[in-house]
Amino acid sequence: MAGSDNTVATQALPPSPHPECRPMNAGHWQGAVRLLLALGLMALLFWLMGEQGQHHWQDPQIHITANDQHYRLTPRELGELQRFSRDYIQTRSEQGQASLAAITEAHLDRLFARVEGQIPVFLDWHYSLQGEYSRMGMGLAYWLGWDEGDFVRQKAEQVLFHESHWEDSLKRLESRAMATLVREDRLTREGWMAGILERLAPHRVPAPINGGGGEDSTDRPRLSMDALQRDMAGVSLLSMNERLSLSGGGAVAGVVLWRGAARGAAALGGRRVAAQGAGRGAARIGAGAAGGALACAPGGPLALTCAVAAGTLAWVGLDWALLKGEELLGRDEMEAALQKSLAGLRQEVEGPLQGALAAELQQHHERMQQRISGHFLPLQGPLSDRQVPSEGVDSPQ
Amino acid sequence: MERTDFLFDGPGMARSLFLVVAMTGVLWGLHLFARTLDTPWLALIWLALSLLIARGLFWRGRIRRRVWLRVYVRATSPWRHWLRGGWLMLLLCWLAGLFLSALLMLVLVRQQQTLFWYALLASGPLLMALRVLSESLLAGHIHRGFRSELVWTLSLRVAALLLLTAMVWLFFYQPQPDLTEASVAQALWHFVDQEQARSAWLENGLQLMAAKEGLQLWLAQQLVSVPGAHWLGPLLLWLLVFAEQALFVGAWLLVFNGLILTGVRHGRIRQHRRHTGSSPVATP
Repeated sequence: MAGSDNTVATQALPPSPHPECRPMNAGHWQGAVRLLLALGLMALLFWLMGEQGQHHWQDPQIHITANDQHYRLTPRELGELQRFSRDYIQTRSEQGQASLAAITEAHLDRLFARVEGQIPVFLDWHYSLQGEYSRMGMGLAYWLGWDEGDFVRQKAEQVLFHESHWEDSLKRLESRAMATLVREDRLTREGWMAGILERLAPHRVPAPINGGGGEDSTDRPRLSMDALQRDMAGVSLLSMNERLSLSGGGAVAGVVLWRGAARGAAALGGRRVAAQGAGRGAARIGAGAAGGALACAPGGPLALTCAVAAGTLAWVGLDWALLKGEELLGRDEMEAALQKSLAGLRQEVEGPLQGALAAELQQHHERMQQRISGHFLPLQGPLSDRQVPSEGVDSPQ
Repeated sequence: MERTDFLFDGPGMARSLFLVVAMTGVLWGLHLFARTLDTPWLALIWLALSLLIARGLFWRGRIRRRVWLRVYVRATSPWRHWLRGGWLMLLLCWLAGLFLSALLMLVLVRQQQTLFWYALLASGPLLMALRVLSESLLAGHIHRGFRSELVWTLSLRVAALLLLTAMVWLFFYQPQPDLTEASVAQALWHFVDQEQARSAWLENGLQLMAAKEGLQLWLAQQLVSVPGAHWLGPLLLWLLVFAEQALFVGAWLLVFNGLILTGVRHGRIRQHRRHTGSSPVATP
């Protein structure tokens, strides 16, 4: 082989002289330096390999758990989940407000129909002798300073509101509103979770292996939808407890508001009623005296008794006639005034009540949004930072 | 044995030793930072490693081919020219280099054991020592032209055997997760999920390797509990581990092969210049 025309480079080179036969030249010094360098580098690498860990690259995916399932999402997909949550809760809030408004309106329709049904009862009493003499008695008490002069209004409140079970009805309304709120809250959370799970489904990953050194060693950001749902349920319970104070206020406020609305209604003020009663009283005294004198003119030992009986009869008869005349002239006007005052009352009750319920629902949904953002945003915040390598996060084994 | 026919000299050996240790340092640096590198940088490193491996393979392939031609083909035959080893051999060597360097990079990036790196650090000096030993054993018996290849073959094989034993031993002591209760999807995901890299190509490669490891471990642990086949799992596992580690060790030592070849040739050319004032013309 050696000596052919196709000689390799190593064959073309002259043989090296034996190292022991040569003096130390520049090549040998260079070799010694290289040997020292190689040994020094080995020692350095040996030390560094024991000290330095690998620089890891953390991709920005987020580990999500929900209903014992595991998912992986990118920050963009997490942002889409948050947008879905915001839109869904907003839509549910609007639907819940509409539902509450419909329930409130229907209930108030029935309640005010009952109250308006009591107006004839009140008017019958008002234009009755019983009512007349009650007013006269209370007018005298007012004149003597024993009463505050709002007997008729109190009677109206009793007939219109108490006998139509106003307070109980309003409590029932608020109970229904509460039940609706609770149901809406539950449906909102269930619907939200169902939507979240539906959107998470394509991103499902197998469960991590636990124990035996198989724990997930990555330090990915984590989000537990179950914890978030529990958090939102806690918000709901808190809101419901706060909302209980809404009930009694509305019912009591109804009558108070009606007093304000009925202030303009005719014939309900104590002084006016007292003045009318006093006017009618002067006529009654005159008519009674004239009737007694006329009927018992023949006289005798029974003349006084006869005069009292005839006078009383004439008094009552005249009273009745006057009442009927007044009813004929003023009943429709009074009925219209009462209906107008009830319409005003309804506006003053329904508007604030619906507003309070809507505001409560809106506030509750805003709290839910805040909880969602509270869980989502901290994960979205440092995501851009996660794209830079984490230096030496793992120590070598 | 003629000591003057020795292939190596002291300065050349020191240079080669420095080169292999430095290359170990470079590849350890690759292990440290590969996950944070962009794809173009990784592609550049991959290409460089593949060329280094291909260079050594091509050089040794040409020597083996030359010996074969001299034995079997007449000196006047044009076959000697056609079959001498040209672009086709270079291309095949480069393709092998691409595959081996890709495997090498993936294993290097995934391995976290310090002992593993200590073994690799020791492999360079070991290879150098084995080369000197082989040369001293063969110098009096084998022709100089073919001896360089035979020295390479012997030293590489012995070094590979020792390194492979160390790698398999390290694998044996590497902590493994208990997959007996896990589904195959869980096992694969567990391994794949650990592998993240800035470069999508590297990440895919790492995850592929991790999936293979997860599958072989899962299979091995499941088969252990199968009556009558409890020996099959460990056997399958160790065969796969052995095959993978053999390929890795081969790739690692072939990088040294290409590197030291360059060092030896440059050193000897300089030595020739010092003696004659001209450079050698023939190349393999």
